[in-house]
Amino acid sequence: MNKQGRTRTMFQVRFHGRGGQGVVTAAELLASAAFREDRHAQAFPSFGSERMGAPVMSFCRIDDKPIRTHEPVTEPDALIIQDATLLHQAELFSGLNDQGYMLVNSTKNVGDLGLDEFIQGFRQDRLLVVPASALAMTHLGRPLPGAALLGGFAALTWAVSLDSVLAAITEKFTGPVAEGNAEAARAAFEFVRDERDALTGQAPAREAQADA
Amino acid sequence: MLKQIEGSRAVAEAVAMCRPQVICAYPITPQTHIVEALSAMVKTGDLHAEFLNVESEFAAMSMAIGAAAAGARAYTATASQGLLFMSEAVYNAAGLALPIVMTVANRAIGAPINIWNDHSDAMSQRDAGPA
Repeated sequence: MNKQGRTRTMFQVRFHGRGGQGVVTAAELLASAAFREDRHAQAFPSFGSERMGAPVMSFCRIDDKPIRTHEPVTEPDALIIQDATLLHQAELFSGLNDQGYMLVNSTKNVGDLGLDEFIQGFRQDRLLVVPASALAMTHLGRPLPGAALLGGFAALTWAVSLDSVLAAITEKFTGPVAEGNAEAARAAFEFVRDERDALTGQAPAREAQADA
Repeated sequence: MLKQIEGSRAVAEAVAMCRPQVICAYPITPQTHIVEALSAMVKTGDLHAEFLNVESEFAAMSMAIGAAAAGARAYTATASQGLLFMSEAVYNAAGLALPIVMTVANRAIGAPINIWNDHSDAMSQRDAGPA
């Protein structure tokens, strides 16, 4: 049963980043986290002959039923932007509807990202930023934002729980790398949760967290 | 217990359960993770097999033919241009009725260089007679 009041239909996530930043690993970690919650999940990259620094995409689908499609995600429910310099380059927002979620790796505020034209009509409590690279530098010592963004993603969407994200991280990595990534994810979760609570003026997510 | 793993990894684990004795490998996207996983299993001793890094796909299938003709269970994997390069040997393997197992990871054939997935590689070898 669904304890957190989520919709139980397919949830599709598109990751945008740069080659070498870990978009593929991030999508795989999210799928692994969802799988731990007895859900069906898939993750795959938009396979390019990519090089370091090139704009790259990856995808993750989560559902309660076996997922038959293996198409790239063209109508995402959520976007995770690993590199804010992509915001004005690629067609990042393609297919995102006005109820969609977006989490941007940035130290700026959403209002300072130059997206005013785009974000009109969207739910402001669903378009959030988290300084994922900075958190990764603090806790991991390397500017790899994937794990932190997934922690923030858990707080933003509740599509997966923080515990599942942490379990996926500690399965994928070992030793200090696992610990650093897990710490970064925890910190990002709290950052996004507080950011969202401030916008909504309440803390529905915390009740759901206690329930979970 | 169910676990979630990459498709290529699942292929590698299934192949390992069949206890291949000779694995011939030449890397090509998107097949590479299969033979990488198998090579790791051979290295750790979890899989007892001869792992042969060959100089081309043509050599991969040719060595698989030699191994199978000598009575060993032989495995290789390829895709796209690699399968085309292997083509002459594929016909020989089929014609000699050697029980070689090969994974074709199904990548489109160029040109221009194409890394999307379709069946143009496998379909090109359909009439060679592999079972």
